[in-house]
Amino acid sequence: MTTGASDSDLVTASLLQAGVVVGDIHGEVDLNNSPSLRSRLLEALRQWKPTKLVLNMSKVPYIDSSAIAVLVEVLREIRRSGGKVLLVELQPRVKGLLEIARLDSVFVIAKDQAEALQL
Amino acid sequence: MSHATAAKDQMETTRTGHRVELNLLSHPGLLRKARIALEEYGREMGLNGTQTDRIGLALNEALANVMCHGYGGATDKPIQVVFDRRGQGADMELVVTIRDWAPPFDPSTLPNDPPPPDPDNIKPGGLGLLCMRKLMDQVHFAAQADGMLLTMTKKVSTQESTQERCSVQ
Repeated sequence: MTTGASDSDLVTASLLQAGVVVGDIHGEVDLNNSPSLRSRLLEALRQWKPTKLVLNMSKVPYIDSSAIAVLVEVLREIRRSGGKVLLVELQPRVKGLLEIARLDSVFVIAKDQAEALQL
Repeated sequence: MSHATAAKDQMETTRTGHRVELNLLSHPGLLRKARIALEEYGREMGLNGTQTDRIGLALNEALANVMCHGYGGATDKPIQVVFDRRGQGADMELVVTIRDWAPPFDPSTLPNDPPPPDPDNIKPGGLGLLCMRKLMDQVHFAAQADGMLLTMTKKVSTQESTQERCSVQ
């Protein structure tokens, strides 16, 4: 069973190419670790100032609304510089929550990283 | 509860017949434990995987709201959760109550049908309420003299309705 990741394992982010940052999120995200997700993603934005943030969520079986709020904050931040957030390989439960929150149309959702890089 | 145990580990479970009572502290580290306990209870009642996912998330959101908004982030305050069943056969319902001792609020101030979230002005607490209402059949807040009592119910159906109001899996 996949459990909540420790803070250091929760997300790894790297600069793929100029303006494009890829982040891999690992494990369940709820109110207990969403503050760590927030700080690490905002740090990546500050460090690399991307116009495209691709978040691979294939290893994220569960999120709650606090994680959604983090994603929205990151989206808001990157939009200031005309950028966008792309969510990749969403698991059904995560996609379902985005739909419930009526935010599935706010993010760009791609089936895999290759597709995300084309968008 | 043992003072030697970290707050995030403090959840006591008591079962009497079909009634399960969880007593926990308001630490976000306990969200997962409480959610898993309800999902297991739902499975015992015959709910399928999609349905147990929904009730688990609804409990997560309700508890997170108490922790964040009721108790303002304090991690050592008491919360009592009860799972029980009501009715029989096709009328059977899962009933989840969440009692807290945070300053009570007027439930009539809550929006009945929150508008679609504005990404530029999103409030996490509002999202939680929206999720609870979408995921459960009934969500009812009752102010108590010394806190709040939230009751959420979910009809137990062994067959997933094709007209479920949401598509979380």
